[in-house]
Amino acid sequence: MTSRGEAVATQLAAAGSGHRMRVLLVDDQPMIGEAVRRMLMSETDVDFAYCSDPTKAMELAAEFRPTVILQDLVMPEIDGLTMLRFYRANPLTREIPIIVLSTKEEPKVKAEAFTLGANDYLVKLPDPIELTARIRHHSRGYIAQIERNEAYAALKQSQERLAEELSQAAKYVISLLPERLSGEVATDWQFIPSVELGGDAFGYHWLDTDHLALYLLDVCGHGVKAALLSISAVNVLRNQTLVATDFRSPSEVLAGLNKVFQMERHNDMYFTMWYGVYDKQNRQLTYANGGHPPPILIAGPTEETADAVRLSQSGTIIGAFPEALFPQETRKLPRFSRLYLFSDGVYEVTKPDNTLLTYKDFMSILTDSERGGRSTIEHAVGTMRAAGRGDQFEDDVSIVEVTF
Amino acid sequence: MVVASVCVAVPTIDTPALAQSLAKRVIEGDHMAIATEELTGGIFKVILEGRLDIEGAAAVDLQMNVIAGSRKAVLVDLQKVSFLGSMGLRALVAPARTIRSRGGKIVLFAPNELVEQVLKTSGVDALIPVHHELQTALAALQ
Repeated sequence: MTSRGEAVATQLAAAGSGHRMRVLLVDDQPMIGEAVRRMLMSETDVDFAYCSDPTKAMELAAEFRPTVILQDLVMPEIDGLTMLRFYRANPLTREIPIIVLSTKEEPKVKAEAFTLGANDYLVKLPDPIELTARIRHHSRGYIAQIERNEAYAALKQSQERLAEELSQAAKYVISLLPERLSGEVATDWQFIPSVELGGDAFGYHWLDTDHLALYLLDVCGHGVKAALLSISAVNVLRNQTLVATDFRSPSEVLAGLNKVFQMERHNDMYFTMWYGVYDKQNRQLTYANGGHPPPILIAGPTEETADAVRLSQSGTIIGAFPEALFPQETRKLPRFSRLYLFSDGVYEVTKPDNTLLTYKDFMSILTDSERGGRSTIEHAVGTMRAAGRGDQFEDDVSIVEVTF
Repeated sequence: MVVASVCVAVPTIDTPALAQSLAKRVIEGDHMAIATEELTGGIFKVILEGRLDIEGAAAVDLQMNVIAGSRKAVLVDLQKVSFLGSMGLRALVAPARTIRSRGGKIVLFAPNELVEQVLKTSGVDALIPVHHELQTALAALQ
């Protein structure tokens, strides 16, 4: 039996349990205590505690933390069924498997014991092999439950830590976004980071008294690493840290970024970007595009007579191909000119029927004249959000409105 | 890239049947399936099937990079790809960069309208050729 005990012990230990099996016997007869102690002696992975005084059992259980309790049914001061009630009422012992021990088979008592929460019923005392097997079976189940709870708690903690990190990263991205402008150029924007934080960022700043740079970028993927790349790129633009680059030339800027941000140096990530420069004196906009959805310009002699047009000058995603070129285009801006830059998260919304909304859908919503008193951005974002399956967008949403 | 040393090592094959099935392997991802086929002229065909979204891309990333590290003429059949997201695009662009840096060639074959639109907007079609006719696709890989 010893070698068998050892074999089983090794097996269970190998099963990776960091928890030992602990048996608490509560029985008023020391003879029983001694008998069980002898039976478990050779089980090297089982700790045994004996309690003859039921009034001390709870206290001992709290300290010893058994993985199974053997509870005598008939005792002079407190009977076993009452002990069962106590065990099941106390959070510390509520889940511990309990084997009740009786001197005889009594169907009524048995039924009541199980009703009160016992997990097994034995007539004292079965042979060692049976007792040990039952002890191991119940202990294993309890240990598995503990380990599962521990794993869940650890998982929850790491998820909370991740959510906190994402929230901090989102805050940092938001802190880099510019103030809204008013006056000769007016701006408005919305930035809604997704739960997993996508890689959206945007900005605008005066390069000199006459030139305003505008840009919006979107790093592929999610998470802190996407946010880190988008922040790097925005910082390069804000601080104009590209060597020998005329920041009034969108072609040069995108080509410069493309060289600096080649994928293999940035975790194999690419980003899309639109970069434009508004020339105040000549009232014209020059722009180039690195694989980003085309911005929409609503322009005309007046707001009422304005037309919507895509700024379709295209180019390649940034970071993919070192030799890529980014042709730029210049457009004169009519008296009424309002530009919308946005990321694909604003229109890549899954409808309840599981199809996706499209850029075209978004364009027609953007040019809706009926907006119920809301601003264009509010109306567009609100409508797209409502068209989706849930309350949230699936990806980062960025949208910038610039009125020239 | 790590890839170069992870080339698929083909063991000595006893039976012809086994050899054949190794030449045509299908590995299932959750959403994506990837099958491969040796064509004449040393051209290696990769058939992708499913949604190339975040999960789809993750499911095929490793195989695509192994192929990119070991092949010089690759045709990526996109007929059965229903969706191409930003990570899916990455799953095509990263191996394409590897193949080109090794002096190889890669073409994309027969994307559907939705997928082709993504390739156009991102400008990737300007740098990884897209073909809708098999003959021209194969010719581009010679």
